[in-house]
Amino acid sequence: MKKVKLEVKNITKRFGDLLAVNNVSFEVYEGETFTLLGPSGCGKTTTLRIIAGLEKPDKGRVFIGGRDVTDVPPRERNVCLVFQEYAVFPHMTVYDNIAFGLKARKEPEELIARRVREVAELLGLTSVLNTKASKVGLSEKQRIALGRCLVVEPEILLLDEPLTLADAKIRETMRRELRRLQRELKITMIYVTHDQLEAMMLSDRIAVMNAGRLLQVGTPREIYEKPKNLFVAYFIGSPTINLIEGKLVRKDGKLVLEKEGLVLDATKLLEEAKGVGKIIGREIVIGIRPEDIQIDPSGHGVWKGEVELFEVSGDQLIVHIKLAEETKIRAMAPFSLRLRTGDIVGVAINPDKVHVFDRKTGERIDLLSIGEA
Amino acid sequence: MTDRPAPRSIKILANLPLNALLYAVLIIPFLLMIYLAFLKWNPAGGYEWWRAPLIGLANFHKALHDSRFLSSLGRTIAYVAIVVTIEFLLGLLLAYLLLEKFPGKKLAIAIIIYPLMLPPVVVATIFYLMFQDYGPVNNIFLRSIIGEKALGIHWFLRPDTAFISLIIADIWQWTPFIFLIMYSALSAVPKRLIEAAQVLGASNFYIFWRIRLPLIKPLIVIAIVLRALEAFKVFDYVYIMTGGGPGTSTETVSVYIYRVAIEYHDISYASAMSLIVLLLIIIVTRIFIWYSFERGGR
Amino acid sequence: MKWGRIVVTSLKYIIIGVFILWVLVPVAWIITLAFKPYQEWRVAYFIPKQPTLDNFIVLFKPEVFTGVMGATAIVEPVTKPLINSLVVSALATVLAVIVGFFSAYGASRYNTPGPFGIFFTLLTRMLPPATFVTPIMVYYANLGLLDTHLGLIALYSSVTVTYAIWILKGFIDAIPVEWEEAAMLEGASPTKVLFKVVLPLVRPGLVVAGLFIFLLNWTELLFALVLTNINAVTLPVHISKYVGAVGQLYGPQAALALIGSIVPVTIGYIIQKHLVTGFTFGMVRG
Repeated sequence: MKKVKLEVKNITKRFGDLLAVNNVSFEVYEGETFTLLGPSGCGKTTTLRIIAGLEKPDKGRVFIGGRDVTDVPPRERNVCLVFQEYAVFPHMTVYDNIAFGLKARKEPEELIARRVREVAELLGLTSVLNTKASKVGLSEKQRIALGRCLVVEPEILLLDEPLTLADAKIRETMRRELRRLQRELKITMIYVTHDQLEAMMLSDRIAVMNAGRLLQVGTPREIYEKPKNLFVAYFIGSPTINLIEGKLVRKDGKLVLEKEGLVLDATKLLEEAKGVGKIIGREIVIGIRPEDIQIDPSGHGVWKGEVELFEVSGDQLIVHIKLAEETKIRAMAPFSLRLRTGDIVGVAINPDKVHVFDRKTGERIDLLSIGEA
Repeated sequence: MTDRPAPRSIKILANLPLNALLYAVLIIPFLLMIYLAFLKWNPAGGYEWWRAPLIGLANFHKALHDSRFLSSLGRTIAYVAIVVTIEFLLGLLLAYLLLEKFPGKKLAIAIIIYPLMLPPVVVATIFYLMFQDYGPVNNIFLRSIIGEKALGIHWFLRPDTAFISLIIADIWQWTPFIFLIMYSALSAVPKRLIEAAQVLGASNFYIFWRIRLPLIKPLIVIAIVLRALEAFKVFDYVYIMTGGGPGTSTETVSVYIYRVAIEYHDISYASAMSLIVLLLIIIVTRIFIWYSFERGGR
Repeated sequence: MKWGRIVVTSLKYIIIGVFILWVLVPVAWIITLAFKPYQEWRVAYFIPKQPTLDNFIVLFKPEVFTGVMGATAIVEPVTKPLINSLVVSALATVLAVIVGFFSAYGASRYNTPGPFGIFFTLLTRMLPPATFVTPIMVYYANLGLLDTHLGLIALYSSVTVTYAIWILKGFIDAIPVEWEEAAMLEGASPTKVLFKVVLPLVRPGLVVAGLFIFLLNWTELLFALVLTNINAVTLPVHISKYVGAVGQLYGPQAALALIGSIVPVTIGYIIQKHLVTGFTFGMVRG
């Protein structure tokens, strides 16, 4: 049984007319890395600041280790926050920055010196300990901000987009470092980011937020494989998921997706899915991830289409395929696949990897569960 | 762009009017003052200064042995030390208390800075009236504490109370000056740093002491230097409220030099004392700034 | 825990409240005293029982009430000092701002005037006026400038020009150089750039610097006290004579303090945001 370290219950926060956080609840278990993921302005930072005690929620409670801390000031919560801008104290040395929390708690000198040295060692800051913090580089500043928190051994470590200011290379190393540190020290960590790749790599569990609402909580795999609604499906994954909308109807023994006169045959895609009967006649959105689509140059597959455009993404190609007027999909293909624009190709899709959503509510329709029900 | 040589027309416009003004009005008299300080000249003597005899350092020698000059100097320094200390502490406290938002804050600030805008002669008049025998300080405030005895306190007739009345006027007018500088300094401390210290477990007091104060130190030095220089000039309050009295017990350097020059017509002697004071101010300011920035400010 | 915070918060508002009272009480006393008749000058309450304008009238027409209020000496009406103060302060301000504008532009864009000019102007603010008014008096006596408006205007503008330079330099620094360069590329002469491009952009700065310097000129006492006698007496000099020499004319003295406050207080609130900048030579931004 996993132990609950943090519980956020129905918190709501308004800034003037803006509803920044709207009735959000979740739990974070001891020792896990929990990520609040969402686009900027979705309320993830505000949620984090409420956990830290820097903002007071209008409604709702926050519990840390079972204790209600909603009215407790930040300094008595024993959580620590690493800021996006690092907020290193510019007038102090690196040593004094890291020692700050312990000094503020009036810990004995020897203990402070020992702990600071340990943390400096861990983060590779030993050589700059006596340098003024305003004089070190960005990546050192970042490690100072982290070390300053580690040294006080907080119950929960909060990180607010700590990697946004770093360049791509440092970012990657820091990500790995963070993961290692978290495992090694077994810290409970809450991480805020707008970068879904970062969230996927770092987290044990992810909470996706948008417009102040919490949309889905789950492991990276769950979120990727079973997005609860259109927003999550769209936000997670790169390149973004293909979405095709329309009304599903049965016509001449075929299942077709109809939209403003356009008709797309979906028989091969959905025929075998259990419970498909329940969605016939409904407005739906079908989601297929580009990486779940195989291109068959010989033309076989669920659909046929014309190759329109290539994009290079890492060691793969993103192929834009026109299925019909106004209906295009993107698929991933290896470089080795020889294609030219104008080629007619077939696309093969595993029906298990097809996501179906209600067009009006955006909620996921689980064909299997409907079938079982 | 500042390293580029200025076009001729700009050079002329930037230098000529300024230098013409400074030379015509200040630099020539300043050189004149240096010359006057070595003369024995009193306009009452009936001859112009260019006919007066040179007497070397006699005026300076006299100043250094003039107990009235030395005690006015000491009194002025004490005055500066007292008012600047109190104004700094009060101004800083107020700035800190007004940092957070609260309803009516704008109005509170507008009221607090009111005295700053008044001419010192008006402030002197206000406190001259406040401290009259039947003024509100005695008649309302002190009478409610010590009874009818309060009406017998003659503020301007005793050296100590006269001096205190000057200090009160100064504090009333100039605390807002420190407040304004400290307020804009404290407001400019990044909020993130304060929050970072909070989540690290620091108390408000600790944050004030370790984060806020060190970060605004350069502005503290500026505020104190500017205020001390201004306070050292004190003339208006003394001239109007106490006239330097009773006796010469509240006479400041400015008032004494003014009297020597204007009332006793000893222009040469006044010039010599002025030069001594000038030198003193330049040296002390220099040392203070050096001490705060180059030695201690690293 | 919670109680502690309540105590701290209320203590905070109490301190702020006490300080506001400390500021307001003397002001309230002067305002009420100015409207009190002779019989109420020594009373222990604020609101006058029989409010009167006599205190103000006597300032402008001293002969009307001599004797009535226990006054012995006839003092000049306040009219002339008031006009003198307006004229001298305004003209000295204009002169300082014009001279300061050119120097500020040079200092901001080309490093001219050099450090000496700037340092000397700062020196005039550091030193007590009493220490350099003596030779100016002698100098003015020889030039025949004693007790003239011109003498005061020249002196006032030369000791305030440093504020004009520093305040305007801050404003000019904030204007992007590119605009001037663009104008120069189109063939405009440096002076034309100065007047057609920079001057219009720096207008708010001219207003702030001007009002601030006007405030300083309006409040100046010592120079005027030494350098004027009858013709060019300013309001502060008049006040100092009125309060020092006339004795216990409390009501009119309070009224005079009010008259002396109106202009600077109005200006002060107009440039409230820029007061810090002004007082600190632009070292601190408000």
